[in-house]
Order: sequence, then C-alpha cells, then structure tokens
Amino acid sequence: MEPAPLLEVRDLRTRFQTRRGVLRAVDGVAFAVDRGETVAIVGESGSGKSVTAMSILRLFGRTDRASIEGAILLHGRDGGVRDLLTLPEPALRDVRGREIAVIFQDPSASLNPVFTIGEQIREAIRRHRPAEAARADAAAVELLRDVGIADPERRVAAYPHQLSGGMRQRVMIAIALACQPRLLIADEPTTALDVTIQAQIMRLLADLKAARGMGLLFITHDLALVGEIADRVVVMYAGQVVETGRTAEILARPRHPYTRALLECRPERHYRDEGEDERLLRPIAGAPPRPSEVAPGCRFAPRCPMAEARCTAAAIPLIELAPAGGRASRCIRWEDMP
Amino acid sequence: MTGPAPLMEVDDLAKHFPLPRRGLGARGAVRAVDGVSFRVAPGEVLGLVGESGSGKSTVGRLALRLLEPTRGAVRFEGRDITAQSLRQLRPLRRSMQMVFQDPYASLNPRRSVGQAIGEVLRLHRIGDRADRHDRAAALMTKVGLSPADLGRMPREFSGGQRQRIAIARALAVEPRFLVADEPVSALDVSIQAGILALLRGLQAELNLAMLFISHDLSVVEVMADRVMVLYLGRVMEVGPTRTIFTQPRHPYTAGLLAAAPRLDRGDGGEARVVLRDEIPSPANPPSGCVFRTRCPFVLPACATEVPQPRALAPGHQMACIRDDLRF
Repeated sequence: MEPAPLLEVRDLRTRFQTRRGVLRAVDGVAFAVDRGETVAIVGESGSGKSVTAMSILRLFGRTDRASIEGAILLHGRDGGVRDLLTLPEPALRDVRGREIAVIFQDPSASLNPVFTIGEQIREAIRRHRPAEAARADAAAVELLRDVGIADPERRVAAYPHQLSGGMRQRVMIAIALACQPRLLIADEPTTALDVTIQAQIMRLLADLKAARGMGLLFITHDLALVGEIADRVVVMYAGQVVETGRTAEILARPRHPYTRALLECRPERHYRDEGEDERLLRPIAGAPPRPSEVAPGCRFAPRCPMAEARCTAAAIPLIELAPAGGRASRCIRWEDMP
Repeated sequence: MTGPAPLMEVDDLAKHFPLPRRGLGARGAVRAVDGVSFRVAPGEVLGLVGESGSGKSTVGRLALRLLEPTRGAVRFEGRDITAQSLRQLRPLRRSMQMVFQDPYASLNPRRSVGQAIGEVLRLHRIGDRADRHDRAAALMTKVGLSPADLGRMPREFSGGQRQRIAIARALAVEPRFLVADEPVSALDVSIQAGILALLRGLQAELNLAMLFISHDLSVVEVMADRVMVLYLGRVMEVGPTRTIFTQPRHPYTAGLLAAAPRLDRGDGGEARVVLRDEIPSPANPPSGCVFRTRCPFVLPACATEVPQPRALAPGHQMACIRDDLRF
C-alpha cells in the first residue's frame, strides 16, 4: 500500500503563559503519521511529548493559558485537508472522538465514577455515531469483547471502581474505538500497569490497529516498548525533535547522542562464569535544561559526551540523513557516532 | 543452607488484613502475605519481584516491623524482632532502614536537608551538634551532593537529588540492613541508573544487606544477588539472580520475564507467552496453587494440592508440582 498521510504536524510551537514568564514546552516540532502506521514519540518528563499530543486536539483548559502555533493537518478520507489549529471549536469537537481519539495514562481520571461503563460507551456511540444509537447496547457489549473483557454482557453494568486498572484501560480503549477513529493517540497508556497487563494491552493495541487500519500515535518514555509497536520513532528532548526515523534503524544505530544515551541508560547485567558479573549502569550526566534557560545551540550539549564549541554556537537544525525513511538528526556530529 | 550466618531470617511470615464485616457471616481477610520464609546474609541483596498485589511491599514493611505480622518470625542477628516491645526495638532500628519510592513524600517540606539528616542522628543519640553537622556534610558528599546544599529545602532539589537525600538520611545511622521499596520507580530512566549505581556502590562499600523491591525486572536483575518471586503473598521461586533470569523453572517467573519489554526482542512480541487475565483478589485466593488460574501449564492436581517449595539446586527453590517444565 502506498503510504498516504493521515496527520501532519508542522513547526508546532506550544507555549504556556506562567507567572514566571513564557514556558516554551514544544518548540518547532514536526512529524507525520501515515494511514495505518504507528509512530512513537519518545522522551522523558519535560521533553514536550505529552504537550505535543495535547496540542493536536487543543486539549488545554483556559487556565493553562496555552498558545499553539504551527499547523496540524488532518487528511480526510475524501482527500481534503483541514488544519486543526484553525478549525473552530465546534468543528474540532467533531474531530475529537470521531476521527481522532485519545487514551491517557490514568484511566480512572478519564472515567466518570458515577456511571456504569456501559453508559459511558453508549454515550460515546450516541454522540459520534448517531445512526447506531438504536443498537448502542449491543455495540457496547461488542466493543468490550473486542478489547478483551471477559463476560462483557455482565461487565457492561459495572462501575469503574469495580474494575482493575488494566480493565479500566481496556474500557478507555473501548470508548476510544466507539467512534471508529482513524487515529488513536495513546499517551503512556501502560505506565501505571503491571508488566503482565502492559504486555496484554500492547498486544491489544497492535491487534486493534491492524484489524481496523487505524493510525496510532504512541507516546512513551520507554524505548523498549517502542521497539515492540512502532514503525517509526520521534525522539524528543527539551521541546524539540532530536532524532527521527524507522524504529529498527534508530534502535540499532542511533544518530543522536541523546537517543544513544537513552538506549544505554537501561540497566544491563552480563553474566560471567568466572569473577564478578558485569553490571552496566550508565546514567545521563546532569539534568535536562529548564525551559526558561535553554542555551542557544544544541540543548543536549551540556550533558553530551561528544559536545564541542560549535555545538553551542548557533541553533542546530534537524539534519536529513537519508532521503528515504525520513531519517533525521539534530546533531552536527552525527557522522562521528560509532 | 550453608554460608555465613544470616543477618535476617524470616520464617512462615503472614499478614492478613481483616475485611469489613458483611452481614452475619465470618469476617474475611486479605491474605497479603501468607507463609513467606527467606534469609538475607550480611552484605547480600535479595530482590523481590511480583505484580501489584503480590505482597512484596508488605514483606518489606514486615521485615522492619513497620507492620505487625499475623504470624511468623523475623529474626535480625538472631533476635526475633516481632517478639520485642517497641522500646526494645529502638536500638535495633538504627541497624535497619528504609528508602521509599516517592522522595517527595518522604521528606518534610518545611525542614532543610541538614535538619532532616540531623534529626535522625539526634533521635539515635549519635554525636553532638557539631559532630552531627560534620556527619551530615560527609553523607552529602557520599551520595553525590554538595555539603553546601545542607541549608536548602527539599523543594529546591530534583526528584533524583531528593532520592539521594533520602538515601543519605537512611545511611546516616550506619545501618546493616536496608529495605529499598521501588526506589527509582518515580524517576526518569536517565536518572535511575545514577541512583542504582549509588546504591550498588554504597552497598558494597558498607557491606549493606538489602531487600530490594521493584516491579522493574531489569532493575532487580542488575541490583540483586538473589531473587525471590512472589505471587498472591506466596513465594513461587527463589534463586540466584542468574538462575532466575536465565533458567527460570516456575511458570509464573517465566511469564513475568516474557512480559517485560526488551530492546533486543524486536520480533513484535508474537512468539512469547503472555500471561492471561489478572492477579486474583488476595481476599479470595484460588485453592491449591494460587497461580493455577493463570498458569498455561495447569493440571487437575493443581486445584487440590498446595505446592511446597522444593530445592532444585543449592539455593534454588520453587513451588510448582510440575517437574517437566523448562523455559
């Protein structure tokens, strides 16, 4: 299948007006998600990965005092293109849920405790697929079955507190799927779950994506999860994209020192038959810059073992490394990397 | 078991939390920990793994008698700490310390770092005022911070730095035994490795024994000398770290390892066994083997027989009636 763009994010800049001044959380981010493709955004706290996701659907409240610039282009089934940033709020409300759905890390915060999960799924169906309102009851049960909830006829009457964290996340996925979105944004959907449940949810997401041909934008801090689900990766640091490309290539041969450091800081133990085992613990020195004090050049330079004077002299652009696959790095020394 | 005399010996430890009474029936209980035994040698790190609800944090708290056990004994250097009064326990507390998951919650926001460390020393009547300040300064250096920061407040530090302060405070009284309960789970991955390296270095330098609790298997693998796998408050398998991670014999251990995301897997996860369903309620555990409801290798006998831990090799035990499984 010829890759067709579904979502294009161009030069996204999200700022928050705070008491201490302007916080530039996302500073010129660009990437695209094709139809049926999984793209992962990877970064640590403060990298701007979640703010990027929230910006796509303008999910900020008035008190956040956010300003979003750039372009977020959603390609329609009919070939039409809409910029979500210039869309009036009522039209954007139709996009939310119907075309793009979001699931978050903490399902308990997204579910209403006083309604049964069936009522909440039916509500989503009625709002986004009015034609199917008449058979919403049956559709809700089917959705619960699709997301792997056993005994869905009974569970549909359960309240959120009667379910485990893993079950609640499945319910969130069911609500997200209720309107048959073309793009699912999953923001750290398994971070609060046990590894066993995480593995189940990851498999569920991969299966649903394949079965329904959805695009998936998967946001995580864990590079190991990326390897299991994503076709392409966007690595973010201090509000910028520092590296992007196909998952296998990035994991095997990172072309930005931050990506490499992120891969290496996971603990590893190599067993030895004689003598002490080798225990690899390689933290990244220092801490990310505060958004208020980013240096003019490379933002990773203060923590980078490869940094030179020219790294901090001027802003570093995202350098295209190969014409195919969208491989790019924001490191002027990318060719010197081992 | 051979080897050095254990620093800590735990026998048949259980903690049942009573449930609210419902109607006229007998009062139920959550069996958070149910018959756990283990030993920790001086300077040894025992890793505890298992899902939420496996009882690993409860075991950590029982080992320090921060909780009263329902049954069983915890002997520290030969003395049963569950049989002592809290007053008798006080000098022993100096030898046993704890580091928690959330460094934000475990430090008083209104006290400077110097006060937080000094208070522990004062409570244990260690040194005079000037001596305590010197000790606090030395501890700051030891955990990779500056003695000049002693006057600063917790909010002025990052999460990783706060965890270093919590470690400095725990080590202030020169303990021989430390319970570390998810000490890096709240931190970014790039920060975690530094805290783990610090703990590992201090552990070797001070010959500190540790109960190291984490849901993150790669963290436990790098830290622990031995690993104990818990499920619904019971020990499924215990053995040397290498054995547990490379040749597990209990189906639960194998399932847990298979579930952990790994960079080197890269096959889309299609081939591995994914444990189905979820951990049952500890208020109503399955009969026989508690793991049987999720076990891909379950036999009819598993419902009736409670598997007893049996030795497979020196130091390697597991509680499964099947002998034919290799992973």
